[in-house]
Amino acid sequence: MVSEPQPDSVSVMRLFATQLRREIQSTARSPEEVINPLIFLFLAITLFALSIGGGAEDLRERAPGIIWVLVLLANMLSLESLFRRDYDDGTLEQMLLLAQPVFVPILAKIVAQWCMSGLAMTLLAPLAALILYLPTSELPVLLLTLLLGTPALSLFGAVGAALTVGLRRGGVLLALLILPLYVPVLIFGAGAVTEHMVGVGVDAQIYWLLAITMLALTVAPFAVQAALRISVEQ
Amino acid sequence: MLLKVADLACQRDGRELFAALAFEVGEGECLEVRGPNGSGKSTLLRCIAGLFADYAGSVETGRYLYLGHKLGLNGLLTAEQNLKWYQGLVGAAGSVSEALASVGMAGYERVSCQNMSAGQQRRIGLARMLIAQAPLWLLDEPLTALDSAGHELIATLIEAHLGRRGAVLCATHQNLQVAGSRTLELGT
Amino acid sequence: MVCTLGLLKEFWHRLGSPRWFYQISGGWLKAFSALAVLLLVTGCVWGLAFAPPDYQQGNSFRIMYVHVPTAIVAQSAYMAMGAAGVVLLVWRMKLADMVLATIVPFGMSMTALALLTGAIWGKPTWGAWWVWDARTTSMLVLLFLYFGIYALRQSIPSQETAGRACAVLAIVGMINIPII
Repeated sequence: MVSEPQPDSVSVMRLFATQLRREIQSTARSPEEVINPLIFLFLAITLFALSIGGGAEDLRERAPGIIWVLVLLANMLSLESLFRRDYDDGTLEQMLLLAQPVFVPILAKIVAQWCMSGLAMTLLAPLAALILYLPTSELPVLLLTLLLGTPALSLFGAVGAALTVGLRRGGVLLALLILPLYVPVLIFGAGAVTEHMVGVGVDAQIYWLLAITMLALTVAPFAVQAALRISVEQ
Repeated sequence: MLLKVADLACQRDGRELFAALAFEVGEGECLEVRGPNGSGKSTLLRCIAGLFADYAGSVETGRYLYLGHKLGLNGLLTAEQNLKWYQGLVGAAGSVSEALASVGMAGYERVSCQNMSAGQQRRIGLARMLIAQAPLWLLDEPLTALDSAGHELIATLIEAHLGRRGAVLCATHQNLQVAGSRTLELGT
Repeated sequence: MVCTLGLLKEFWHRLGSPRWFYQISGGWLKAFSALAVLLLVTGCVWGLAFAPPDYQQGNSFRIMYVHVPTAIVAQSAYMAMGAAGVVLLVWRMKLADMVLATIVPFGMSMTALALLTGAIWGKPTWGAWWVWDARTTSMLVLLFLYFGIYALRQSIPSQETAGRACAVLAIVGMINIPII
């Protein structure tokens, strides 16, 4: 016998840590999955800066919207590969079969994806603000909205990714499915920074973002679990 | 009784694969599922494993391990990392190196799975049957890509498992060479 | 009391059988069609022709008689779709799958109509065909959600899987309804 009989249930922390460690190991061996969306983000921001001809004033007004929309899109790029590798090599079905409870490794995957996209983008936001002439007084609000909003993006996006992972050309369909869910986050996130720039209080938007993220955190892992089962059963 | 199937009917892409299928697998028993290509062997295994939902009938089973067409190994990671993940997933403890040695892959701990041949990857896949223990094994064409030494390995592992009062349900083209195994024919 | 519960349970399970539903819905269809035509004609004529003009907005306000019902139906249809989704996933009734599939084009056209009539109302009232406030935006999001469910259904070859995937999406999209 090469291993001892296992205990009846695995501790949730150990399950979470196991999956998180695997995500880190996997990403370390293919860093381009993380880096490419971030490069896209800055390339696209540069494109906007170049195309909106005028000076600092024009860019400054539009900066929150531009940054938020591009964060959304870059996030979607990194979501495509959230479950695809595991689906292709059969790891996903094993995870669904063996893990109890299943939503724990799923949550670990989403957390890892958030760290590598949403969190990374939040940390790089000051650079984006610089390119678009966003004043540094707006930085705290920008960072806060990104920090509170990007988890919701990762969570909702995971639902879309789970639904489309079994499809061959799921890319555009993924966008179609999750952009409607992203709209409230976009409205509150970009709206908060824009309002703050003109001196209006933004407590409401911050609370809304927090509420949406909390709701996503409660609902999304189970929706993802159901969607993964459906995708795997195809 | 580790597996009980009653009145199982299944169709795929509008084609009926099998109907009113019933069988049981008890402790120490090995059942080989045979049939031509497309007769529904893999689908049957997936129905039992819970990975295919479009079936009618009842499947009763306890804990099981499923080894399918897709190996369940992340190519980017090493054998050791993959097997440690399985350990963490099911809460097992024990030595990964011993498991690798049991399938004839000693010393391959730090080799990436994508740098291995198909047969070697299959052996790593088998190693996880030793790490995550379960009474029932569902094997889908385990002999694929294995050489004759590999065939012997499978037979040895299965016989050891049956000796531990486990059970095996196996879809296969070729003879497993396991003593006392029954056969179920599909597509007839 | 127990008897009623038993009857209700039986009705619920009978309702799930497509064959039984097909038989009785034939009769229902005739009755409901007649009622629908009657009510629609009455409502349209009454609202668009007989109702007095609004003291502030004049006659342009008549489009409200079409706009409000279509908006209500669009939202209710989505909630019905969400409920059908829950029934499909929990009780695995094939009928719920059919309900979901039928509501999608219907809800889509109702939402589009609501947006269109809203724009028609908006031009004389606000001076603009479209404004980006919370309600209009979330109605637009509702339309995109319908599109998404439709697209998902089309792209999955297996009927049963497509139904369940759409059910999950419909349920997640319910978050949008309170925002509207």
